[in-house]
Parts: sequence; structure tokens; C-alpha cells
Amino acid sequence: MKSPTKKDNINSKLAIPLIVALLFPLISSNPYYLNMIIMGEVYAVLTMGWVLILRMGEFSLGQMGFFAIGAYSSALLVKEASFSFWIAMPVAGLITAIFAFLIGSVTLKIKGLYFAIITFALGEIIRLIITSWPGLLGGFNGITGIPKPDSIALPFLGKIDFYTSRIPFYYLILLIIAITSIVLWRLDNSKFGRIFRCIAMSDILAESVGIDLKRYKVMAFVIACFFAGIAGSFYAHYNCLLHPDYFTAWQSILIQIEATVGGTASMVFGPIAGAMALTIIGEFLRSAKNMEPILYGGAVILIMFFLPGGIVDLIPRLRLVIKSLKG
Amino acid sequence: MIIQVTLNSLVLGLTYVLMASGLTLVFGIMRIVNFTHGQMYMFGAFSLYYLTELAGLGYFPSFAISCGLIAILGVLIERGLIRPFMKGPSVPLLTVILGGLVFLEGAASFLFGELDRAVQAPFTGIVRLGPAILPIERIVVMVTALAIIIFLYWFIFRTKEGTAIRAVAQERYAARLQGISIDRCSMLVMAIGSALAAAAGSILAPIFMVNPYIGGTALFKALIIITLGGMGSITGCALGGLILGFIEGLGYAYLGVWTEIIGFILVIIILLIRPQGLLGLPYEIAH
Repeated sequence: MKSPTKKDNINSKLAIPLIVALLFPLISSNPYYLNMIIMGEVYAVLTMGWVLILRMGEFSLGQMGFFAIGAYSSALLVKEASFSFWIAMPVAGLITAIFAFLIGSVTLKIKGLYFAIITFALGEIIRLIITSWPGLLGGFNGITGIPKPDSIALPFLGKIDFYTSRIPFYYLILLIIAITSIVLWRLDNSKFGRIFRCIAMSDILAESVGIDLKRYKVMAFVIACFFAGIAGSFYAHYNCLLHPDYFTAWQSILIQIEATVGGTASMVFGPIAGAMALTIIGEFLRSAKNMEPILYGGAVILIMFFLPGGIVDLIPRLRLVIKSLKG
Repeated sequence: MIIQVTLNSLVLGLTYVLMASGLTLVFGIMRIVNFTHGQMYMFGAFSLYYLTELAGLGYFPSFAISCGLIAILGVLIERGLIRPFMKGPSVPLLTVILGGLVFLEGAASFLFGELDRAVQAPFTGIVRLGPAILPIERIVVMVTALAIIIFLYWFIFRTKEGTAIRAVAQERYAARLQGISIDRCSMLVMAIGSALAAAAGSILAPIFMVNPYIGGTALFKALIIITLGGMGSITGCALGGLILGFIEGLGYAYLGVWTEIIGFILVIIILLIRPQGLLGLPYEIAH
């Protein structure tokens, strides 16, 4: 009878953030805060994918490259091939996944730091292809005037228009994040999650008990990149402007920082907490102008020193403190 | 034209060797990629700028002081940031180093401002080699790069400390059993690695502009080079630097904008065929 109580516990833990998330636009419809939260959530999707890759024991320093593939393919599909956004988004995710499959099945025999450097080089190659191909991909001028999603009629809610306000975008990214979380959570707690952990602990041992290493590694990589592509598609149509400077290796490194600061022990809470916390910290530090990077870097170092398990470690620690205060 | 391009490539290659030598040394001993290496390079260039332009010191004393200052900074980073995480898992360690990178770059733009600074060239004039032209400052770059490589060889292969460092790189536990302090070795290596980064920054400061963001490019080039040559190998670093120098020198002359991609593609190909790089430790040992 242990598992149902555990499940209830998770549900009650989830309820409060979920209600806050659903009602957030009612609490504050300030477009500035809304934009901050939306960008934090876009990063959260990327970060969750990064943690999935870490689960099977590899670092990726090139997630921004896959984000760019999703963003550019979705923008081109809608702008040049006049697809509807609602079709272009899953197609962009699939295109990214196909790229990830081709790249992953060649490169995933390499592991550790060497794989990290391959992904770093890949991210930079993707960015350099964008800048050196002005004809199709806009080069340094970027792609401008990407249409926002078409309005969509939903049962009970009526027609939803993306042109007048940011709130529909907020609910769209919330939906994307919910789907990503559910898929990755289920995956992490299934046979596959155990196999990934096993590979990360010892790939030789995993192989010796009959696990097809490459198949599972490619699988994790493709799923992570699929969601990165979806996030990229959302970003393209939310921002309406794509510029190669947004997809640098630097941004990919930020994803790793966000994941670790949030905590990589959990598949869903850690990445979301890390991405939201660092996006919000970064946004508030903007008022500090040229002090911003110092404070940001300092915050990252301090969090790693005092919470090596990430922000999610805070909850059990607080619980301990409360317990000791009670007596 | 061909002689000129070859000369330019050679100079570029040796410049890259300068940028990468410290990184490969640190990796060889500590088995971590010191992502703050680029920032050491940048701080080295800035301290040279301030020592020559504001304190009015000569180029060579400033060069020496700048290397010394950055070596101290390297030791501080090793003791303060890296050592507390050295025994734990690698993800927090990597993140704390990346946090250090952000912090140092931010500190530079806060302290020094974001403007481009120019350092007065200590050497002027040119040498004509047949149809090709070679500025003397580039010759200085070549000579210093060669001198630093020779110094590293001497240090690693001929001194007692160098022998200890090699022992740690080969087999940490056996080295410790022989009474070698790994902490002391790491500190020494971090000091030398940082001083090398500062030396590269100081030598290249009169040629390139100095601003708080030059560290990123230096780090990325150094990463490509040590991957090509083999992480931890000093000969590999020299070879990788020259290869990248020639690719870029020839590429910019004949190919144009696509050149930068070639370096990265080469990195991926090398890693797929020979993950340890051209002259690195075998893949299995490096793990």
C-alpha cells in the first residue's frame, strides 16, 4: 500500500505550483513579467531535455543548435511554405528529431568529455551554417516578420487570438511544459529510466547484461532534441524574429548551468526550478546593469557551494530545519 | 601569395599554440577542462595594458608581472572553486567553473569597461622575405611561442616537479603512494597554466584589441586545438595549433566565410575516428 500514498503526496505537491501557474496571468497581466515567465518556461523545456541526456550519462553542450533547427524549420515552414503553425510546430519537432537521430547514431559511440565537445562543435556548426547562408536562413540579418500562431477555436473557450495579447502564449507554453514533464516523468520512472541510469553508472556493465547501449542512448538524445525543437518552434513564433546570435554555444552552456542549479536528481522539478530561478534572477539583475554578470556568476557559485544538489535540495533541507525547530 | 599565406598560417598556428598550451597542461593533470582559461587570457591582456599604459612600465617587466599576477589568480581559482568540488561528481564541478567564467567576464567588464583598448606595440617595422611581408611583432609571437613550447618540454621532462606532474597524469593513485602531493601538483599546474594563458594574452595584446570579451574566442580556439591534438598532450597541442592555423590561414585566403566551419567539422571527424585526438592518451586510459 506504499505506492498510492506516495502518489498522493506527489499530487498534493504538484497542486500548489499548478494552481499558481494556471492563475498567474490573473495575478499579474503585466506583459513584462509574463514575458519573463514565458522565456523561463522555454528554457525549462530545453533544460529538461538536457537532464534526459545527462540521465544516460552524457553532457550536451549543443542543445541551442537543436533549438535553432526547430526554430528555423518552423519559421520557414510557416513563412515560405505557408503551413499552419499548429502543423509546423510538431513537424519542426520531428525535423529536429530526425537531425538528432542522424547525428546521434553516428556520434553517440563517443562518450564523456569527447561527446560534450562534439555537441559543442555541432552547435557552433549549426550557428555558422545559419550565418553563412543568407539566402535561405537570413544570415546575420536573421529572419524577421515570422507570423504569430493562427487563431484557433477551442471548445468552451471560444476563439483564441494570439495577436492581441501574450496570455495565450503563456497557456501554450504551459501546455508544452506539461506535456514535456509528463512524458519525461513517465519515461524516467519506467524501464527506460532504469536503463538510462544503468548506462550512466557503468556502460560496460550495462552492455554485459544485454542492454543495447547505442539504441537507448540515441533514444534519449532524440527525445531530448525533439522537445528542444518544439521549444524552438514556439520561440520562433512567439518572438517573431530569429537571429543567429541567439543560438551561441554560450546559451547552450547556460542550459547546463540552469539544470545543475535546479538540481539534476529530479527529471522535472529541478530543471523547471533552475530555469525559472535563473531567468528571474537574470531579469532582476538587469537593473544592476554592468554588475549583472558578476552577481549572476556569483549566485551560481554560491548556489553550488551551499546546495550542491541544486535548488530542489532546498525543500528537504527546509523540512529538516522546521522539524528541528519544532523540537 | 603562397609564401605570404603560408607565413600567415604559421604565425596564426603558433598564436593558437600559445592560447592552448595552458589548457592542455591543466587537463593533463587535473582531468578537467578549465573553462576560465579564456578569462585568464583576457585578464593577462588587461593587466599588460594597465601596466604599460597607466603605470608606464616597459613591455617586458609588464609581461613578467602580468604572468605572475594571473598565476596567483589561477591558484586562487584552483583552491577556492575547483578543489572543494574535485572529489565530488563532475556536473557540479563543471557548473561551478562555468559560474566562475561568468563571474570573471562580468568582473572585467565592470572593472575595465567594455571599450576596445589598444596596447602600444613594442616592436615595429617589417621584414621582407622575397615577395612576402612579415611584421617584426609577428616574428616575436613566433619566437615566444617556440620558446614557451621548449620551456614546457624542459619543465615537464627535465625537472623534478615536471616528473611528479607526469606521474600524476599517468596514474594518480600510484603517484600518491610515492609521496607526491596531488593537491600541490594541481596548484602548480594551475599556476603555470594560468601564467601561460596570461603570456598568450600579453603577447597578442599589441596585435589584437583588448576587451572583456576576447576570452570566449580564445577558449573556443584552445578547445578545438587540444581536442585535435589530444587532450593533455603538449606535442599534440603544438600540432593541433599548427593544423588549425594552416586550415584557417589557407581557408580565409581561398574559401572565405565557410572556413570557420571546417575547424569544427575536423574536430568532429577526429573525435569519431580517433577520440583521443592525434597524439592523446588512449581513449580507455583517459576515462
